[in-house]
Amino acid sequence: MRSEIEVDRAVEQYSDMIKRICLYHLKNAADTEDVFQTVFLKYLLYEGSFEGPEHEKAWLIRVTLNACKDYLKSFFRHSALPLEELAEEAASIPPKQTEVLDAVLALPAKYKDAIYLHYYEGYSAWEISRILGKKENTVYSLLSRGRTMLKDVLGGDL
Amino acid sequence: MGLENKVRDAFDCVKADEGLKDAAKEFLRDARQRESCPGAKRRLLHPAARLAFVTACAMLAVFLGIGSYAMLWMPVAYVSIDVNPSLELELNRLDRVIDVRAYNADGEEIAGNISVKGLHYEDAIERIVSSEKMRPYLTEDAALTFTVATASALKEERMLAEIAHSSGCLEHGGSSVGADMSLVGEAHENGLSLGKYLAYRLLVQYEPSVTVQDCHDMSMSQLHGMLEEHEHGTSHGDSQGEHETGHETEHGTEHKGQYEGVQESEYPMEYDGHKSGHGH
Repeated sequence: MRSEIEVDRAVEQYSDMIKRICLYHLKNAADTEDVFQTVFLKYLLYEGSFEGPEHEKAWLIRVTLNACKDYLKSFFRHSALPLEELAEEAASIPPKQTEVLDAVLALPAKYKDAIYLHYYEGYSAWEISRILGKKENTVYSLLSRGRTMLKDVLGGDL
Repeated sequence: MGLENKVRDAFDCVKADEGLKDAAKEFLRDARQRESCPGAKRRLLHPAARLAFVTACAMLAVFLGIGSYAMLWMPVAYVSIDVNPSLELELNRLDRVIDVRAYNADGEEIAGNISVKGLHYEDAIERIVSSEKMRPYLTEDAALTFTVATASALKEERMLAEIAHSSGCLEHGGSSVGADMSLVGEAHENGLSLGKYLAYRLLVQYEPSVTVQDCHDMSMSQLHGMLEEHEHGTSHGDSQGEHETGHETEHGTEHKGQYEGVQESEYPMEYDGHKSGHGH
């Protein structure tokens, strides 16, 4: 079991990232809180060691994605809110950013992870393939199609 | 602006608020404590699973509550005690009295002064019959009648036997009779105890002009007297017919089987004054 200091540090360091992943998968504050706690509980109880910060971050991303998928399949999940309610949940988000978020959230699930990990977290296709357990070429395809779909929705010079 | 920047700017706006972080830290502190407790090594339940577990426990408690209610507070058997006071005991599955109802003014006087709720019906009968309030009614010519209704034939047989051999019944020459459960509702709709309603059902066969109100105002002794008159009249006037139909026994004329509601019982109600089979 990890120390309290270590866990508190992880909460401070990775909360935003986990919240973002939960947001585009779950779109629901209550479910987000449940998964949020589940992820850090797994972290608390994880007996293995990390090779470094990048390894730790990638581990948390994988755990969060799996927790979200499990939760979406779960009987206990709360009913999903419509996308329009995203703005209500994050009232401080400017309309322009809300539009982009809405567009990402509207993508089919398999594209959202690749788009987020590449365009926000800055992972390469190879790194994403390791995190998602997919072939590198598949990741390229996901990024390409996801980008096209976003362009259709948002327009402009993507 | 390129897609990378747009996505970055958009997701930059999404941050975990302090409340979410604090709730997680609190949850993890609790988790750490539970995991550190000796003998509490089990994995913690997911918060939603925990909620479901609590809900399941609550539902189980509700079902157990309903079961307990059905066991303790649902009447499943009735014993009416009629002399002139008319009382009726409602019994639960454990043969305990859950309510006492009076069906005339004398009965109300008794019910209002004697507490029998929660008692086993035999103890309740004993307490009622031996009470000071009941004594004036238990005269030589009184017709103490116990009428039992329950859905189980075996239970009815057992209760009739227990009542017939109770000291209250033996001491005062009482009789006991079984009745169909369906008659309980009819009796109550007519404002009569089960025992008086049975007597009314018998009497009206001989005297169709007799009304429920007439019976309500009569004591069991008077009702028995009228029935005896009719019984003697029919047995003397058409004794051959009675023997053929098997309605006479060595104890006298039995009224069981003369109408649908009365149960076949080895403790029949007898209206000819020969109550020795049960009361002596």
